[in-house]
Amino acid sequence: MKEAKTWVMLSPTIIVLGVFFIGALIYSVLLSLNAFSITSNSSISLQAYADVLGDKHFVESLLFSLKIAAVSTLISIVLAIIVSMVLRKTFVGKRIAVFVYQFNIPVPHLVVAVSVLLMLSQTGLISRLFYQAGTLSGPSSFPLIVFDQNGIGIIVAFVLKSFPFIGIAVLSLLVTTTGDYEQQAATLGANAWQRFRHVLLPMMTPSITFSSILVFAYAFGSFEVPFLLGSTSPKALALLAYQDYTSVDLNTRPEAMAIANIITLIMAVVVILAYRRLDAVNKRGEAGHA
Amino acid sequence: MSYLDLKGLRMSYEGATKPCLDGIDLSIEKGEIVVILGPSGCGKTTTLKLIAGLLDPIEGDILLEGRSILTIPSEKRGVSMVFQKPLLFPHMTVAENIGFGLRMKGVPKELFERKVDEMLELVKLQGLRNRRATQLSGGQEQRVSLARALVIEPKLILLDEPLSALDAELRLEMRELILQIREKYNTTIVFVTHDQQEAVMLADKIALMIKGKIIQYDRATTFYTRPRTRRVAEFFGWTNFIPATQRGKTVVCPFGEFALEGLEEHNGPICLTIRPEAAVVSPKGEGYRAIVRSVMHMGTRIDYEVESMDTKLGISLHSNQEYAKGDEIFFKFVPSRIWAVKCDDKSVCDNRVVWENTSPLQLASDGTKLQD
Amino acid sequence: MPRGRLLGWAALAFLFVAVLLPLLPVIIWSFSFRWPYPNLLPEWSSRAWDYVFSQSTMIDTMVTSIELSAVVTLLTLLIGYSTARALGTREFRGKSAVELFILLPAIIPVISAVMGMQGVFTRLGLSDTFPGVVIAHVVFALPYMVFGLASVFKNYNLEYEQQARTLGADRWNVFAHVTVPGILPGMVVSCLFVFVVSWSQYLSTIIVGGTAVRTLPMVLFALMGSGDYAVASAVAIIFILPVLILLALTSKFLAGSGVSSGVINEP
Repeated sequence: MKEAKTWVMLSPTIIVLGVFFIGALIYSVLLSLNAFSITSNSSISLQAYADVLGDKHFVESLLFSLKIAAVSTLISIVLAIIVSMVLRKTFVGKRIAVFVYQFNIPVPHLVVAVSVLLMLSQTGLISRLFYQAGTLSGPSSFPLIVFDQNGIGIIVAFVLKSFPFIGIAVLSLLVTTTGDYEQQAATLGANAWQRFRHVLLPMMTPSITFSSILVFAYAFGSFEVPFLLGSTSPKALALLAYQDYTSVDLNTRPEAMAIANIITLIMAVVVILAYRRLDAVNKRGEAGHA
Repeated sequence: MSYLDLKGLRMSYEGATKPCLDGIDLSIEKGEIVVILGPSGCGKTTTLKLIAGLLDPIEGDILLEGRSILTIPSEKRGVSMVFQKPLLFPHMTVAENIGFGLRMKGVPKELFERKVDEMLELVKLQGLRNRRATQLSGGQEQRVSLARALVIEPKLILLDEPLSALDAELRLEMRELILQIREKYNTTIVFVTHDQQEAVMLADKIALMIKGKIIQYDRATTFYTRPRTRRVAEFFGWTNFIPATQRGKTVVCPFGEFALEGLEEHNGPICLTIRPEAAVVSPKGEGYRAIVRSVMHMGTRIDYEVESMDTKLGISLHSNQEYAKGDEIFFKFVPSRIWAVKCDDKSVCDNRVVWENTSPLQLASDGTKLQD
Repeated sequence: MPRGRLLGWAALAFLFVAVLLPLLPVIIWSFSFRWPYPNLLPEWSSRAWDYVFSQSTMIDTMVTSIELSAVVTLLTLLIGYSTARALGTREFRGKSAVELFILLPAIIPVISAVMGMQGVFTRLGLSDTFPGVVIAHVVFALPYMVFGLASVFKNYNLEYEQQARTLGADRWNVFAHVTVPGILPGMVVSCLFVFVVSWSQYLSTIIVGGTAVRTLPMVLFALMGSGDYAVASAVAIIFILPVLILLALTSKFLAGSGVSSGVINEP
């Protein structure tokens, strides 16, 4: 009886997501398999996937997007841990610091991308400062950070948004839960590094893992930021998909969908891997490991 | 020089108007179990944290084996602490928790396992060796926490309210364990509590801390025979407070003159305090006459509030004889259960009956503890 | 601890540079007529702001964005409320699976879902319509509302409601006088984040909405493409202003929010 009520309560969200989200994914799969072909005779086929996977632009974009997502997530994790560890102790100006720390979280990625561009492009503010200081001879002497082949500008934009996101969750944990455990560890002889390594870090890991996945997912599949800050090649994966989707040639639709589905698949794998690892750590005790 | 010395410790928290600790002096010998007892509030846990090095005092010194440890960081002091909440590391097993301190020292695996096993046996949790710390009951957590603090052979173990979260049965078990530990390892133990019963069950000596000062530091039984001030008396179940006058070495009050040993010669007002068990029923017509004003059944005893010679008294009699409200009752005092205390900051003692802290401790007429 | 103090100030400085400094060129650009390289300061002018506030299309766009995000927030709240309550107060078999399911729109990148969404919406006649965009935004916002509210409910004591019922309160009164006040701070925070999620949507609006719905991010995007950084900057500032105001208002409302709100934030 109670179970039934629970499922009734869950139903609005499940139905809405089931129809409009899962429905969208299913449609995307069907389209990629050419199920609604309007042009040729075709039957369901995996041709779109073959074309996509064989395309070297695709492979390039895939590696590019993976690299950007991984690098920005890693840098964000490190920065988040460092800044949060510093900010947990009280000091004059801490309130302002925490306020600034959270500031970027509600700021849309688009705006962060715009500001990164205006700051770090070859004609940006930083470049002008260096020129005025006499260390630069002209805009082209300024290193290519935005619109470069390595996506550094893109990474910077992601990091600026992501490290506070991960960091605030960590800070919240450090300020509430972990303090007592640290004191306990100190009385048992653990020095500062040992306390961090054996008590704090393990206690922070679930929270960091969760927010990192969200951050990675966004960076991997982002459209706006690479579009604004990227070079013409390599393109981020989302740009490739968008290109194929909006092209005049309708035959590229299935390929666009194929790319979209591959992105979905990759994210599914990432999530499974991350949670396998978390679970393994959790289950160690029950298995009888000493 | 004792094993642990606290000298003039003063501690204050930001924004507080009064200091939390206002000059604490305490000396503890090796192998002693000393309890810091006092009403809830800051001070007691703060003292422990100062000894453990988790806090720095504003003034004062802490000496361990004759040497100041103030500049030594917490992890190097050799003082382990068991917090009020067991604080077992959630991501580790019982064995890993117990062995945490050994691991920090870099103890080799074989020795590590041996010591952990030894502890598990001591606290009787061998079967839970590989259980995750989050899957234990409260009592089990408490024992693991104690084992964890003990395995590193600390110079001193500090316990913060070790028994308060436990039910009566577990309390007795923990008490046995703590006494066992002291016997086997001769560990010096300092613990704090607000519960008089807990203190009396375990302590060699009790330090009564009220408002950041230690008011009396004595063997447990002394508090039941010679409290130093009214506050102390109230805390230890001395129920009656009667205004009296001291002349030389005698104290005069409506119930007569009492010559009390150990009192400094003095002339002036003083407060007579009498334990509720000090009254003994006397044959009709003898002793003091009183009218019963209220009756409270307490199991094997009955507590009565009586009025005699315009003075309110609380007396506790065995329940094999019952009196009702309004009855006439005749009684005498056992002299050894009468004491006189200063009235703290008041110069006038007001006649009051305080029931709140009547202790379970039964004392013989000479002040020694009776068997329960 | 002098070293701790120094680190604190270093962190503060770092945060200022990382978070606030990048906004500087945006602000300067918005007040410039031209800002040729390598000048540190532009030729000042308010033309960008004049333009933004005078153009009726701009005003329309702002209004559309606000309306859209407000409707999305309300709808998400209505749809997600009971689900969040169930997740926060009940245990049941399959709970982890349900949680993962609801989390999907936050994990799977928008690009992966939105093209398929367009297809489905076209068949349902929702493509190129305001309601269609609303639904699309709701889909992507639901995880944040559900998990945000669920975490509030986790800390919520149902016994308050039981108490009220024993005192004669009917279901509506219990909801109005016990539940809502009890979860209000967390609910406000969740609504705020859903608003931001919807407010920031670009891809879903443009693909599902097509030409029918024009929102601020679309305008910003187009302006950046055109190279008119002055107007783009003005639009960017207008774009983040409502969000910052909302944040300021609610953090006064919830003392110490942010660090202690315990709500999932948008990446």
